[in-house]
Amino acid sequence: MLSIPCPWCGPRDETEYSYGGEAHIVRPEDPQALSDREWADYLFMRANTKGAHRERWVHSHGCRRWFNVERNTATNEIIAVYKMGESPPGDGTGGDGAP
Amino acid sequence: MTQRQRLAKGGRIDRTRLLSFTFDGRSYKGYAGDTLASALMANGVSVLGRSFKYHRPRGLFGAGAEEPNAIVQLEEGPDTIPNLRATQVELYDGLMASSVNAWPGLDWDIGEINSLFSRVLPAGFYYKTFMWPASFWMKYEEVIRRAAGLGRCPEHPDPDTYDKMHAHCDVLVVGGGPAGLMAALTAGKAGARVILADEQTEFGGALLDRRNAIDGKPAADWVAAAVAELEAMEDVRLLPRTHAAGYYEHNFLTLLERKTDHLHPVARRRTPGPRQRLWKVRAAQVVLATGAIERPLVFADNDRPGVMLASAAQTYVNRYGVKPGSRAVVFTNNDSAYAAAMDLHDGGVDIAAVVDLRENPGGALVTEARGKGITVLDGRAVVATEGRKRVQAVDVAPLSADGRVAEGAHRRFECDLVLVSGGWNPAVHLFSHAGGKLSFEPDRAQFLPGTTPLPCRAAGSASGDIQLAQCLANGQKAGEVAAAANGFRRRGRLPGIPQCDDVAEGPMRHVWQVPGRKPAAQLKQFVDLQHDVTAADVHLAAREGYESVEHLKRYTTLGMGTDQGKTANINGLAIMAETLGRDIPGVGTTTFRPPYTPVTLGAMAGRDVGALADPVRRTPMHHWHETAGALFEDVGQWKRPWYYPKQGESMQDAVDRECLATRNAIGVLDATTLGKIDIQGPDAAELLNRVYTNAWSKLAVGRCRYGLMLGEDGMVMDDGVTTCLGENHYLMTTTTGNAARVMGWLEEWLQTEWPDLKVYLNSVSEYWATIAIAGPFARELLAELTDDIDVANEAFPFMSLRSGTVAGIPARVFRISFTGEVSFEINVPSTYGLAMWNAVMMAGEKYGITPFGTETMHVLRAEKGYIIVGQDTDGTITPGDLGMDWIVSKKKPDFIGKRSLSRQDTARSDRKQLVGLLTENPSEVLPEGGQIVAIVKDSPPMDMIGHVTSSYYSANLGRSIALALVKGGHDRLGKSVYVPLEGRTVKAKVSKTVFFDPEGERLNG
Amino acid sequence: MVDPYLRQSPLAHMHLNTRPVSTDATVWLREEPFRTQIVLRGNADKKPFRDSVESAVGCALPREPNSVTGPTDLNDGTRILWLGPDEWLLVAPVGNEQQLMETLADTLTKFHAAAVDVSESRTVLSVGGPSASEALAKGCSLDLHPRSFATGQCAQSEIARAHAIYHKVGEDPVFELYIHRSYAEYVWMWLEDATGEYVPVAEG
Repeated sequence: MLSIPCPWCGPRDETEYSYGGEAHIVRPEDPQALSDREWADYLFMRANTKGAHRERWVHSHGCRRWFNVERNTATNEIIAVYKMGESPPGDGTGGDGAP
Repeated sequence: MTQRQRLAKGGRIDRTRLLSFTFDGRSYKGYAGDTLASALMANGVSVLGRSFKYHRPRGLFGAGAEEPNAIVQLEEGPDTIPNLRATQVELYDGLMASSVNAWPGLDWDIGEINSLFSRVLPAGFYYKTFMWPASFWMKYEEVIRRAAGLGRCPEHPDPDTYDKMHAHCDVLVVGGGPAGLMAALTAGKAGARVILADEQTEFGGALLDRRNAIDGKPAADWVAAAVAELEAMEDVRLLPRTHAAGYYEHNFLTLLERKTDHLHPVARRRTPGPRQRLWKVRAAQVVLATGAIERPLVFADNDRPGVMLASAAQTYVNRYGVKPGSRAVVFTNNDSAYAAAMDLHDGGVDIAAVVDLRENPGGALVTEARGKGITVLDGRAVVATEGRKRVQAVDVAPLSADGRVAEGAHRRFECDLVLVSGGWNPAVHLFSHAGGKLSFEPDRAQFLPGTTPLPCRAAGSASGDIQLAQCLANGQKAGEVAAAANGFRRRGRLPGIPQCDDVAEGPMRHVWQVPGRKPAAQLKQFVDLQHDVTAADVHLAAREGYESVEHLKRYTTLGMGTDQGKTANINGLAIMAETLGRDIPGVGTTTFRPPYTPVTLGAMAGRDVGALADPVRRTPMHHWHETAGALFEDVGQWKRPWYYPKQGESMQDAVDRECLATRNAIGVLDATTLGKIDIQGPDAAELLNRVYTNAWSKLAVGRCRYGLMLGEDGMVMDDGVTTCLGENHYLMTTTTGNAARVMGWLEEWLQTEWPDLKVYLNSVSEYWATIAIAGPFARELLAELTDDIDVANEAFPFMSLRSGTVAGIPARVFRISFTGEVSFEINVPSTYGLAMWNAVMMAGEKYGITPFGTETMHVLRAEKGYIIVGQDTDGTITPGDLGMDWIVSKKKPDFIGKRSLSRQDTARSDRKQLVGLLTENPSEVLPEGGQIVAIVKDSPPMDMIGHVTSSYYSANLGRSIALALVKGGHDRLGKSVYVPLEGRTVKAKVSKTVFFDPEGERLNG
Repeated sequence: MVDPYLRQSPLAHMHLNTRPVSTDATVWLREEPFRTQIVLRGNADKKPFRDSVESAVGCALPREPNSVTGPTDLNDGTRILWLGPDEWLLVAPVGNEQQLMETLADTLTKFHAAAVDVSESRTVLSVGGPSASEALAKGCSLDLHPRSFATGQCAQSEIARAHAIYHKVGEDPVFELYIHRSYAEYVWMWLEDATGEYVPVAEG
């Protein structure tokens, strides 16, 4: 049972949330201009990272807000939590971005 | 029967409370404070079970959670529980237990014949023997299971209640021995919220089993004072009889509290509260003070009843006042067994000898034992044991320097007890559950808690410290650090570390496989007693290439019994390491997984049983439907009326009646369950344009429009009617099952992709009760109920909304239809739902108003070819597949899913498409899900081209109708297809999907 | 005006007020039906919006997550519960929804905002008594200890397997649970089952 810190409500049990898959996949401006391959890439292809992974969650039984989580998919360690529209902290590798 | 092994005094039992119990039908007596194991031992019962594979007689080996042999079935009938460890079953008056795995009985066991054939039952036996022919496996399995199964499942519903409880704390301490008590005291005094859980009845852990002194007094006095102090702290929760079963990410632990397991079933049911409670604890910090489990030695015939862990024997003498035997040989590689030997000696057990694998052991305990006149035979090994139902003698021989040979002057010792000690394994199970890495300490051959990503620390012997003073000190430290990590600093002084006398221990000698008088392959040197895995099995696994620890485990089943190999794992690993010429960490350690000891299914279910098994959503009219005799259909969590059978009616009779009444007079449906979303804001229409396939910009106030919603993959996701309530204000309806999903879907787009859209969504599904009236008299009935709504066809056209008063209640009335009849959906605030329903029923009586359920609704809509998303679609169906291209806007530049409709795969012409099916025989109703073929063969496989999605008998049409998804179905109109069923094949003709009133004349009338 | 006798709470058929009440119970349960509830949406970053709501309703919009503003005694006015960064629940005694909706409608015209009457959507179940927190913990994963859940605080979570808004209204403690009406009977039955051990059964 993960404990996920909602940026508004604080740490709550996983059962209050729903998972939204990989974060920062932006819907193309003009989908009709894309080739089948490009569209399929947007639609189906995900990094499926082992390790630090930026993903979206929604606090469905709480404040109903979507937000981003950087989570280590191997250990479930939660590295960072940030709101929609905010830039992700760190470099996405689980570190703090420092060299 | 007398308790002939009971000591005259001593032990933590209450000799004033004599309890009766039965084991395998025989009556015995014990005392309050006994476990089933100690009581059986007091009565001189040595054989408690049979081993799993060879059915060899087995007796008590341990005294706690580690027990591999004494597995019992408790009670009978609905109260029965299989596979309990007799060492952990608290005795109560009237307790009834039986052995498992010993049919027909312990004394004469047909399974013992397996022993004679043991040469053909090596590791991997199952895999090798029953490979061929495959069809025989079921037969083999049946026979094997009967002989080998452990315990019997209860066959009746469980009469007890179970509970789950969430808990939060600053510090969770698992284990209430010296280290755990110190940790809890220290953290509690600092002001932290503490939970202290211990699997035993009493706190104290090993202090209850030994004769330690603390502060110059018996350790039990210190325990009592510590517990009293903890009890007085407001934010400390003490959970005795509670074992930590699992330790999961983010410091989440499950604990199983056995609240009334120690009571007779009758008394238990008179006690308020649950039988067991599963605690779900989120702890800021965890202290694991789970102790250590003694490790056995692996030697020839080390499984005879009477062979047991030295510490277990010590527990029986000290804690339960029972003599485990009369004359003992102690077999050890370390000092701790000497304490056991002395305690037994003091308890009146004759210690024939201590056989020590070490040359010249020099620890203080050894000296002390010698001082008591106990014979110590050093540099020697037990090479054989004798006896059938109980050990009768052991054979001792000198051990070579490399530990591989034991030859020379043998000595035979008669004894009925062999105490073994191969050192101690810290109980690192929970640490390992949570992803903690173990480190190996070679001198004592211990896997110790190493690093962990979680805020968790081990204390006491779980961290490798064996000495009591160390345990107390590092318990205190762990409590202090854990509390401080939460910001709780000690106020005033720490609880003082009590004084106790520790003695220096000498080094150990590891002889993982003690040599016998014959080659290992001809011996039974048990590693895993419960699963009958021997050293020879481990060798065999190594020879056959199953070298990794995970393969070893699965191939030999080492550690896979109900005891999870608590006494077996390290010895198994070590023997494998020796065989391969590696060190122990080079072979690895098994990853312990939850649960530490088994958790009942009852506790996992908790209160979610019976009527509470699943949440039920009810409409305001639910109890009216119940009274009217409705049967209900589950749609999501909702209970929807399915049909309303009258006396003597079959389902088909009732549905036929409801269908005919609605088409010929008037029917009424509770449609409350549809999802309803209030959409407000200047960009509301833009949102609708983006999520629906059709155009929304020009919908006038008071008008409704049907919409189809796609996933981004172009597949139909939901449908429903949306109404314009006012400027920038809409009400969207969704299907019942998808209400939450659609709301979530729209919110997701708004919050994550289109935060610039000015729209607010609010669910009003629960606000409205919806009563749909449909049929030729629907308009007349509505007219009768309202004064302020003009119901004339022109004044209130199809697909529009009127607000007003119906039956004196403020209402929104939608003229929409899912039946093809003139139909009005009357929406009222839900607390008025029942009143409105009653008013409709009363006024409708003269028209023959008939309540109908979802089944009739399905038939009526299928007659009209209206789809049900999720029944006629399955997430792989596009609007085109449904023949609904008319609803997909060609003008809109974009909407969700649009791009996917032109993908190569979605644009194929041979996709499965929705068609109607008319069976050749009009009374034949196809089964939903039936597979469709174009060409029938004599036997499968046949080329399947689709399946039936909806199928009914239509009373209005006097024949069966069906909808189906068929490959290239739109091009098959008029052609025949076949549905092969069991023993016959049904022929049907592909038709259009609209079977009734294709021009829609009734709807617009 | 609609005849109020036509109104039925979701638990009306259970005739709760005719049931005997155990005075020895350490948990009590009660339904508080028909309470006025309005969901308000808007941008709290805009001061004019906050000020307008405050002057219209008589209490400030809570901006701290899971906090509540307004009077301790509901009879003294309207409370506002924080539900989300742009979402609040206005709560008032029975029968105030129409007046509140009209007030808000006048106020909100100037803003991108929405007010939706949801009085019919949820009923309120009160759970109180010395064992109330423990009883709720059987189906609630929130930490209800006074150190983490102060009186006057609210939170959205679950009770058993239904959604609930929790509002701690008394130290005793007393919790008000806002439950969707369709789940009300399930939650009530679940609570009765879970609190059974705190309600002594009369002998005889």
